[in-house]
Formats: sequence, structure tokens, C-alpha cells
Amino acid sequence: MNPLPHISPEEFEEIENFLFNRLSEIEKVSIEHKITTDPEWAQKVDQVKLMILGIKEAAIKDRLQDYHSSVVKPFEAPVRVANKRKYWPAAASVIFLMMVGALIFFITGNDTKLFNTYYHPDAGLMTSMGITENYAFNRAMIDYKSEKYESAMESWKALQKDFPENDSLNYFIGSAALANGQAKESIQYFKKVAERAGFFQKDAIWYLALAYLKVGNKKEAIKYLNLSDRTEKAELIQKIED
Amino acid sequence: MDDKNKLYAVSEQITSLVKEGDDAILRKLYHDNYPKVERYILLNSGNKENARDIFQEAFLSMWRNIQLEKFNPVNEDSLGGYLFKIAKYKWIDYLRSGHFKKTVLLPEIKENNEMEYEEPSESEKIISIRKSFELLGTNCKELLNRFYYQSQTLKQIAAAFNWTEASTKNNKYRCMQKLKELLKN
Repeated sequence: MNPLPHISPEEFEEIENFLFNRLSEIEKVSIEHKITTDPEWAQKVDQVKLMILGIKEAAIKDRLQDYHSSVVKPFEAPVRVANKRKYWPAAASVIFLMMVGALIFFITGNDTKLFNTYYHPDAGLMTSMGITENYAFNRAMIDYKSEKYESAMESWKALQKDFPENDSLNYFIGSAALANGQAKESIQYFKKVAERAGFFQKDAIWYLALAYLKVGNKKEAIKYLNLSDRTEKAELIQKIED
Repeated sequence: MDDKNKLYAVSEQITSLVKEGDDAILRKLYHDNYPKVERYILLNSGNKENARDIFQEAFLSMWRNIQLEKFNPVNEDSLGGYLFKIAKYKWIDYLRSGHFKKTVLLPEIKENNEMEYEEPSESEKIISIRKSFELLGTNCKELLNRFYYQSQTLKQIAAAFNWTEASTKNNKYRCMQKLKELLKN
């Protein structure tokens, strides 16, 4: 960064306003002219721009460890050998629950059984409540993560009226509906996201296939499973076809 | 497009959200792309620690290059592909360094000798600013972070520090001067 030219407080403010697009068109043109004709001025603008980027990058770097810990599951210590006498009531409860589960499994249809085996709700997005404009979306995301699916859907649907084609809203309304047992309703939302390239497209295809499976439409379920990139898809197609 | 629309248009506005440092998008990108890089590094003489370090370096390079408009992703795939490319480039670079002098490079690595990736010239300066920023005092770091990263107004920052707006503005300038001083050293 050497040599670094001195920047007065007034110049600093002017450069910052230029970089943040806070100047009038005339002021902007004037600065752009100075940048092209005065190398020192150009260097000053460049210096402030890079300093701001460096500060932002430090903030991003700070977050990476947190992101990493959510990817890498912590090491699970081996379970200690339990005192059989002390734990037998718990073991009996587990066996009872397994029996109830097995009973439910046998009285439920095959499509629903497969759906229950392969369906895990989308974990949702991490939210930053500090950004006020994002508040309504994030507030609903917290509801979604707290399994208050009705409330999350209601909030996102209100936003979706203004942004009917927005992928994030459609994807999460679909996710909340499916998690809430409303597979039929979720289909229309997932379909919008699944049928065009986008950030949530691949996940939407998977959940759309599962939603079709849940409502008993095997043909559509297989169609979307074939488009999915999930590793479990071949196994699931096989089980549906059996 | 107004601010509200911009904030909700996640999938269509990946570039702007990454530029803004949107937590949800960055976390998703990290989450979705780390496993592939880890698998590649584990298969090519590295360990999990190497994978984490290389991926995080690549992640910051990706973010920086988007800020500098050296890369303009069109969708998640192009962003993931770009991130993987940088990570591969950095890993090969690392393998060739002194750390792995005795390692026999695998054929796949040899084939990737001529990868098309080059760090922009500004990268070194930005990394140096980032490292100098870490050396600033707590108040300066918080003030600059709030203003430039969290986009808080001087009024909001003044309230958080119990300062006046004018002194917040002065302190911000002084902190930037301190950062500049650290860069000279």
C-alpha cells in the first residue's frame, strides 16, 4: 500500500459518498473526472475502496468458523456401558415406542411410509435479525425453525403477494406446507421453484418429488426424482416401483 | 429495484447478496460446497485441517473477486464451480510448496497444472488490510465493522457507543487513519 497519500477528513467523506453512491449526478461526474485526470486522487479513491473491502473481508472471515462448525458434526463419544438395572425402564419405553411405530408403519400406506423414511424438513436459513428490511422474512424463518409452520406460512404468503415469483418465498412456503402435512398445497410452490434455474432449484425438485409421493402420485414423483441430484434417488425410485 | 425487493429476491440476486455479505446465502454456499472440496483434498494427500484452511481461503477469494467484479455468478452452480476451481488451484499450489516436497503428485493433479485462475492484483492489498484491521483496538474494530459491514448509520452507532454523531464521525476517521498507519508498518 506504499506510498499512502494523505486524505483529509473532507476528502475522505467525499470519496466515501462517491463509493456509496450518495452523490448527485453532477458531483459524481466531477469526481469521475478528477479520477481520470489526477493520479493522486485516483489513488486516494482506490485506497479507501480497498480499505473498506478489507474491513468487510475481516467480518466475513470471522464468520467462517461458525459456518464450518455447522458443516462438520462434532465427534460423538462412544456411549458408556449402562447399568442395566438402572436403565431398564427407559429401555422398556423405547421398545414400547418402537412397537407403536411399527404398528403405525403397518397400517399406513406404502407411499406414506416411503415419504416418512426419506423426508427430512429443510433446515431453513440462518438469519441475521440486525437487518431491519429483512425482518419480516427472518421473523417467519424463526417460526419455521421453531416448527410453527402455520405462522411461518402466513407471514411468507403475505410477502409473496408482493413478490409472487420470488424463489426464496415460494421455496419456504412449500417447505413449511410440506412440514405441516399439507403436501398437496406445497406442490404449487415447489413447482415454481423447481422449473427454473435458481439457488433453491435442486432442493425444490427433491421436495416436489416427495410431495407427489405423499399425495400418491407415483408417476410425478418418479419424474422429479429422475431430475434430482440426491444420492438416495435411485434407491427411492426402486422402492416406489417395487 | 427497491431495497425490500432486493432483499427478498434471494435466488435472482445472488451476486448482490454475496456482495452485501448476507449471512444466509454465505452459510448455504459454505454448507453446500465444503464437502466436495474436502473430498478432493482428502483424496489428494491432504487432511481435514488442510481442507478447512484451503476452503476458507478459497471462500474469501470468491467473495473478494465478486466484490472486485472479477467474477459474476449467474446461479448457484456457477458459484459452486468457481469456488471449487479456486480451492483446487490453492491446493495444488500448496502441494507444490515446501510443505509437500516429497509428495508424488497424482496424475489428476498433474493434469490440472495449467488451471485458469489468477488472484487479482488487489488481493494482496486487501488481505494486508484485513490483517491490519485485526490489530486495531476493540472500539475501532467495532465501529468500522458496524459502519462498513453492518451498514449502520452514524446515528445508530452513536447510540450504541453513547457518543454524539459528530464524535462518531471523527472517531471513524481516526480509526481509518490508525488502520492506514498499521498498513505502513
